[in-house]
Amino acid sequence: MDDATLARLGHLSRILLKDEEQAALLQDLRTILRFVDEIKSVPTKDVEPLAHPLDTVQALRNDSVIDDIERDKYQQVASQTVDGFYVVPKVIDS
Amino acid sequence: MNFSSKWEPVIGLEIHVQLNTQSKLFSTSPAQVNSDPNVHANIVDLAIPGTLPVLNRKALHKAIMFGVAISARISKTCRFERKSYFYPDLPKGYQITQLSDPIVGKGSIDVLTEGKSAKTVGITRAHLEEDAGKSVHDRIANTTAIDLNRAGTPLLEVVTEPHLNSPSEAASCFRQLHTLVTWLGICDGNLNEGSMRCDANVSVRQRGDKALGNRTEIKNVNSFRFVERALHYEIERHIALLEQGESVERETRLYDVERDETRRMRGKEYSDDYRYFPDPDLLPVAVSEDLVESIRRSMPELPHVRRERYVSQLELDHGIAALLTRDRETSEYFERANRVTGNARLVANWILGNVGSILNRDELTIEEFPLSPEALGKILSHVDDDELSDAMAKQVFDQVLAHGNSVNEALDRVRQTQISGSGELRKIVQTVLDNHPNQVKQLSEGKSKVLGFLIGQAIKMSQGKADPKQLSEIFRELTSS
Amino acid sequence: MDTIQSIKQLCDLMDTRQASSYEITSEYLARIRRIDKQLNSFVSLHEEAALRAARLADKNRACGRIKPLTGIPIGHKDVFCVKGERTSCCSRMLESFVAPYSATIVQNLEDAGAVSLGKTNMDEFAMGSSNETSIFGPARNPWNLDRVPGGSSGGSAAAVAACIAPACTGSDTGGSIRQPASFCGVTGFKPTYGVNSRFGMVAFASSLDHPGTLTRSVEDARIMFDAMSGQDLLDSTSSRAPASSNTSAATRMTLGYPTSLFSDLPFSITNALEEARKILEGQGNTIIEIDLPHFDNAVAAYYVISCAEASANLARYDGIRYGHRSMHGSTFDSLCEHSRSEGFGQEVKRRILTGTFVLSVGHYDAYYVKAQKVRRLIRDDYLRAFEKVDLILSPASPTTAFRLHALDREPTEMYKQDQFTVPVNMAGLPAMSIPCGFAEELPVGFQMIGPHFGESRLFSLGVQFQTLTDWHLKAPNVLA
Repeated sequence: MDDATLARLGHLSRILLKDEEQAALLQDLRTILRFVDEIKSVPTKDVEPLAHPLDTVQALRNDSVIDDIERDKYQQVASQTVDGFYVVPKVIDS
Repeated sequence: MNFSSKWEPVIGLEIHVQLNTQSKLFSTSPAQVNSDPNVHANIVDLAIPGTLPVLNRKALHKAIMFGVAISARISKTCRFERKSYFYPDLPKGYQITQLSDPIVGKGSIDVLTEGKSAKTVGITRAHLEEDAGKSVHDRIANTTAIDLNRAGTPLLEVVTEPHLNSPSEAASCFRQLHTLVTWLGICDGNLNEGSMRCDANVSVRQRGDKALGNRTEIKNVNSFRFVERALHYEIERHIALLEQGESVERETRLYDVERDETRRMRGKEYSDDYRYFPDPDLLPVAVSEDLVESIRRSMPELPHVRRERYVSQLELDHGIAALLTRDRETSEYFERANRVTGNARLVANWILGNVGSILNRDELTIEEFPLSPEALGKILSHVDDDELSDAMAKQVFDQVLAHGNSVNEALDRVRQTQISGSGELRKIVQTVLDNHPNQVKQLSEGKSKVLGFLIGQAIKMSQGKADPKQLSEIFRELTSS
Repeated sequence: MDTIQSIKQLCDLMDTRQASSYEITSEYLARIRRIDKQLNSFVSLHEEAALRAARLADKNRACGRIKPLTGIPIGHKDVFCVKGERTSCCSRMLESFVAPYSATIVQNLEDAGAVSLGKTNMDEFAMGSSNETSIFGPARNPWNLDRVPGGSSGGSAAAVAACIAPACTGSDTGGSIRQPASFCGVTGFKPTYGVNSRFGMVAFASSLDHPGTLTRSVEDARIMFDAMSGQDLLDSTSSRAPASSNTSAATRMTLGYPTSLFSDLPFSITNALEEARKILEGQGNTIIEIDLPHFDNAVAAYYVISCAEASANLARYDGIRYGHRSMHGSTFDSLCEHSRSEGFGQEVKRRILTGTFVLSVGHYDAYYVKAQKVRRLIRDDYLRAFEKVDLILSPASPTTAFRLHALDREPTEMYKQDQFTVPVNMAGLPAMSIPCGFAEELPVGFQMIGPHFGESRLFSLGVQFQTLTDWHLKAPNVLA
């Protein structure tokens, strides 16, 4: 874990790291990783990963439409909308 | 298409098929894209905190149907993963997709190539995923406007092996998949509205080389013709670079329809780290043998099976069989008409000929064609019975279409103009016999096939007004002596 | 009205017309106004709506339309959406977010007649064990205002302990119900994973998040459970609820006791635990030693998995459709970065960055997949133990309530607070924290852990314990 990695993580997760907090965060993340690194020593040969505590399978939904959409209400909690669109500053493709 | 004898293009496609479900893949909002912005985005689609996805059974079934149609292995337990990236039209900040256990595994389709026999193209996989919303740039100055109606609509992403070696093969493969998904009724196939979008991966190598060249990806092409043209441009660009000793850069490109060229969109060096992991909001989906079997039983006869049947059982030419099975509607029309007539070749020729030209002229689909397949079948059965010449059948056909007459009315009318006086017919037959001594000789040697030719000549002479059955009798009478 | 009232007692008061729901609700609102400035356990009050609902409940009761919770006021942890009310998760990110819908469990409780008093304080996005990461400031422990109430459901625990709410909902991802219940001397319960719907609970770590309750008694926990649980078609991971009371459930049980895990605990904690053990033994329950070999690996694996899931769950907060939106940023990317940096607190950022790291290329197998394998080993340890025992006993927390700011400099020390609770979430087991004594005038709780869908055993043993003890009948004198 170094500055470059932290910067990359910040970019991937869209968290802007201010210069003054960078050092402390780097320290924290190093501590956290040292802490979680202990799992690497657990023998897990032939162990299947477990994603869910219960061994169940998906219940499916019928393909029916429920028309309960209240756009104006939903958009009340948005900072900026115009003519029913959500609005953001222009996306510039890098 | 040969770019040169030296270079060989290698192409693989990724085709996004919008499944035509009523509701979205993981939410109950209507899967309708063209409406006022955001009126079809519910709290799940908007990723309002606390909302959760629930899988649409129909979407799963449609994906399985596709898998069965390409003889693919259907995953017994399929899983969904999250693919993380930030974009304003991706509300959750991740897309729910399938990475490790796609619902459809390896399969294949037969792609018909120009004038050649079918080529088997491998399908690597097909997986379910949700679509993103739409970003509208500069509708409002310097901003991007977001419409999430499309967010969450179900997509089946079909990935082919890099088995395609020319732009026309690639376009043909795209077309073949279009036929298949519309035939199965799992996609409306409306290319203009983005119901199917194609990404093409292309590289060029020296013929005989095993290793692949650097590839580029052309994104989001939505017509068969544009796929062909974009690839054509791109392959020539690759070859030009390689001939100059330069290398092709791995990148994503866009096809500009206006200028008929591809343009760099972004390089691979910017590619994101998508941090895929199993979506903890969803459990593994169990797909039983029984389910696959019941879907298989519910499926229509597949286009390639039908095509083969037309060739082997109905003795139609490959080309004609292919044309009849290009879409399910044409094929169904043929099936129904042929059920009445029983002369497949005759019915096929009429559908692809007379019917086809009217569809072209009036810009109709075959479903909109006013003459029912049964009515056409009835007209043609008179031709098959030699009661009606082809030309007279055409008159009946035209009358029904022009005046909305019933087939029987039209038949009566046309028959009234038929030359039935045996004196006049005898004269015509005699003239034909005089003009074709060779055929008469063959006929006397027992080659009865010639009779058809002679009758044809007589009908021509009568300008289509003679009854073929009567003609046949007179011919027999005059040549048997 | 007595200070301490269980749901059951409140129902009796209403049934016998000694008090109306309106009077009861008003009384709790008055208590909140009186003392919650010190506790900071509520972050929003639904006064008008509550009184309206209380009046309606009284009408229903008068007409004989009586449901298990008709007229009972409760608080909801601010992680649950309540339609038309702010649901902030105590984060600046959602400070002004008004939920357009209600969580399934909120709806279920309302359908059972409950009246919502307001929203309770919590660690930001439920990430913390002390309630100190809330933007509304920490909630305080009513037994000692210099101490934390635990977290993340600190507000709910403090409110129930101080008797300013008869019961509250909570959420438990790694101990966020049971640890504060233990710190505040109340009954904390979370059922088997999936039995309470997660729909409408703002997600922290989806495969570990368990909605549950903080109540005055086990009996109340059962009443709440019956009302709020059940399979929900809106939550793909939800399960059918097991029966809460099973008469055939053995009244004398075999209880597992992993003594080896308790060696590092302070005497005051082990002492209270021993007392509880003796009481249960005295009732004819058998205690046997069990082994949970991967117990020590649980916290590390938990942090990998929970941070990974959280990093994706919290990606939706981009400032576009809801939530904090920065004044800075002239492109989408930069607006998004500013909004998230301003909207999330330090602990949330740490976890998002950690989660992003463990899922990124090159680290996924070493951390995320590895943690999932360890997760299976942990779960299998429990499954094996439950072949021999009916329930497992353990502490709920390695300490009693600690002082404010005692641990907030050392994130990993804070994480170890959850060592007895985290493994239970990894395995998705039902568990309960019950008050069993005091150490230096601070409450101590012990934990009972059941097998999957073994809720009825927990209720059965818990009721048994509370008929023999009165720890749950004690209240701090903060009200005086």
